[in-house]
Amino acid sequence: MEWRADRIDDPVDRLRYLRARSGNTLATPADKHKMMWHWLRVGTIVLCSGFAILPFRPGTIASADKLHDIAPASTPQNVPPDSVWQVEQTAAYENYSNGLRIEKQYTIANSPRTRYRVFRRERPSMDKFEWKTGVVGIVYHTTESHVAAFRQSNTAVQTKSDLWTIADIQKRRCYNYVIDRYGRVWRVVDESSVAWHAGRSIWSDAKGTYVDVNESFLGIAFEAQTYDESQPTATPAQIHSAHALTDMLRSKYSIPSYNCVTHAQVSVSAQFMKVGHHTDWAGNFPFVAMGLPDNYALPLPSVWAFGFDYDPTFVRATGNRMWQGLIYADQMTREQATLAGLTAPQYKQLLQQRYKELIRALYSADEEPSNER
Amino acid sequence: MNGKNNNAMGLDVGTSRIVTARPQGDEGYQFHSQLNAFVTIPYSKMTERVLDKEGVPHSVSGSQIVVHGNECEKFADLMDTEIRRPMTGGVLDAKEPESISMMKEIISSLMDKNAQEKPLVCFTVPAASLDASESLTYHEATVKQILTQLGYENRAVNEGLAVVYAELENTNYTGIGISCGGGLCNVCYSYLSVPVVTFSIPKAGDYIDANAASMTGERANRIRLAKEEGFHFNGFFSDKVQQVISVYYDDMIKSLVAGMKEAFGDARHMPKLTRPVPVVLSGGTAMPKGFRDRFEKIFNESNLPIQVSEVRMASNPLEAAAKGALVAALAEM
Repeated sequence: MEWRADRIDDPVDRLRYLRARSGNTLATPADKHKMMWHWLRVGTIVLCSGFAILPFRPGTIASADKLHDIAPASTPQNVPPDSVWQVEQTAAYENYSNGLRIEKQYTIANSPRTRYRVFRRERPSMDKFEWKTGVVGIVYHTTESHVAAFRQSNTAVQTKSDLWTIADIQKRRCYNYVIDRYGRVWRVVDESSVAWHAGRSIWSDAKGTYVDVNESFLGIAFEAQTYDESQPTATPAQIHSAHALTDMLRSKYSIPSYNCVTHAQVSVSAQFMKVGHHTDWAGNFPFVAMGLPDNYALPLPSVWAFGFDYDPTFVRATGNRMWQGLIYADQMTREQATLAGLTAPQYKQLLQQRYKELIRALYSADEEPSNER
Repeated sequence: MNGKNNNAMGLDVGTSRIVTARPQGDEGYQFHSQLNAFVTIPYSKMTERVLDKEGVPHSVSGSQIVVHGNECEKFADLMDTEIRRPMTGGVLDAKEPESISMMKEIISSLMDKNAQEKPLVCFTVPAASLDASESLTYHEATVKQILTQLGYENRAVNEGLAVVYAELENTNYTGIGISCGGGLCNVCYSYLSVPVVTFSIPKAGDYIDANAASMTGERANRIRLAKEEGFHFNGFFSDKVQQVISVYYDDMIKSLVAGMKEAFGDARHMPKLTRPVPVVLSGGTAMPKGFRDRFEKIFNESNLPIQVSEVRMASNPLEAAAKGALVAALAEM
C-alpha cells in the first residue's frame, strides 16, 4: 500500500487512496445521524436544566442497550469481479470462462442452506434483525494438513496426500471447496449446503452483522500448512486457481470484495472473548494477487461491535498485516468509550455482554448448531 | 493540489481562534481567521452606526452590542474588561450562555456569503483527554449543527490528525502531529493516514495565561499578549512575567511529553515501524522562538518507545490544522 501511495504525486489523491484502503474515511452525516440527534437532545436538556456538561458520568451506563455506538464511518468500496460464466458441465467436472475447472468426484450434500439472521450493523442485538438467504461472502482457510515440500520428487506422495485430505474433509464436511497443492479445485460440500467451516465467527458489511457465518459464507480451503516456514503457504498454482474460483463465486453470488476474508479475521473464541480463535491465514493471505483489496486493513467487527480482545500470540501470528485492522477497531472502541463516558475496559465489558446476550438468545431461539470446525 | 472538484473548506475550531482554509489556484491555500471571543458593550445608536461604518462584526442583543471576532480585543482593552469566549478547554463552554450563538456568528462571519455553491466543510475536533473525563460529543454535535443550519455539508476530523494531513504528505501521512492551542494540546500518531493513537491534555495556552496571571497579578489577557508578542525561550528573562511564563511553558511541555509516554507506552496499540517518524509542532502556543528546541530536549530526555526522525515546526503553525482539515475535505470529495 505504501509502495503504491509513494507513486501518487498529488497529496490529496494519495490521502484519498490511503484512506480508502484503510477504510478510514470521515463519518458521513448519515452514519452519525442517529447519534447526533440523540446527543443534541441530551445536550439541550442538560443545557436547559442549567447543569454541567457531561451527559453521562463515567460508570453510569449499566447495559449495552444504552450504548449509542457507531459502526465504522464508512464501508470500503467494492472492487467488482470480472464476469465469469459456466462453459461446460459433466458429472465429473465443470469448466468456466476464466479457465476455472472444478472437480466434482468428492462432492456431497450437507444440511441445506436455510435462512439466517442479519443483525444491525450498529448495536447488533436480537431486538432487530432481518432474515436472509443465500451466500454473501467467502472465508478462506488452510487445511493445516501435512504437505510435502513442493518439488517434483514428492509428486507421488503429495498426490496421495491430496486425496486423503479431501476424503477427510468430505467426511467432516468442513469446506465447500479445497484447492490442492497443484491448483486443482475440488468441490466438496455442495454450494447449496452448509459447510462447517467457520465455527464461532463474526463479520459485518454495509447490510449488517453476520454472527456464525457458515450459513452465509462459503468456505474455501487451501491445502497448506501456515506455520511451515520452509516454503510459502500457497503455491502459485493454488493462488491462480483461488483467484479464478473467487471470481466465479463473486460473479455468481454478487459477493462484494470486502466480504472475502480469512478465517483468522472472522474467528472468535466465545469462551475467552478473544479474536483469532483459529489463526489460519492470519497474516499472509495473498489478497492482492487474488484481485482483492487488502482486506486485512478492515477493522474487525468482533472488536468494535462486541468488544472482543486479542492477545500477543494472535498479533504475532498476524505478522505485519492484520494489526492495522485491529488497531483501527481498537481505536474505535476507545473513542466510543469516551463518547459513552466510560473507560475502554468498561465499554468493552458492555459490548461483550451484548455478544453473550445475543448468542444466548440466538441459540435458545434455534437449536444449538454443531458448526464447530 | 487535486484539480478536480475543489469546493471544500477546512475549519479549525480552536479555543482562541477559528481559522478557515480554502483552496486557491492549483497549489495554494487561502486562510482567514477570527478570534473566537466576544465582548459586550452598552447599546447606543451612535456606537452601532460607528461599528457598521467601520465594518466591525457585531450583533445587537437587547440593551447590549456584542462585538465578536478580531476586533473584540481592542474593545476589551478600551473597556478594561476581559473578553468572553464561547469555548474553554478545547470544547464549547457550557457555562457561557452565549456560546452557541457567538460560535454561529463567528463561523458565519468567516464564510463566503457570495459563494454560489456551498463547500464541503471539514472541521477540527479535539481528541479525548487521556483520563477520558470529558465528553466531546456535545461539542462536536453542536458545531455540526451550526454548520448544518448554515447550509454546509460537514465532517469532523481530529485536530492532531489534521496537522498530520497538512504537514506529513512526504511520509504518506505517517508521523506525529501536535497542535498546541489555547485550551488543549492535541496529539495524533498516524500511520498511513490512520489515527493510531489520539489524545489531548488540558494544559495549553490558557493554562499558562491563567497561572501566570495569578502569580503576577496581571490580567490573563495581558499575559497572553506578553506571551504572543515578546516571549522566547532563551534561558534569561529580564522580567518576572517572562520568567513565570517560562515556568508554566515548561510544565506544559513536560505534561505533553508525559502524556505521549503514557499513550504510546501501551505497545499493544502501536504499529511496529522500521523507520523513525517525524514529529510536527503547530498551534499558537508552539509559536515562541525556541519552543521547538525546548520540546525536543524534553522529548529526548523522556525515552519514548518511538524512534523520531525529526522534530520540526509546521510551515505555518497557526494555520496547519485548518489546512489539514481542508486536505481531509478534499480527500472526501
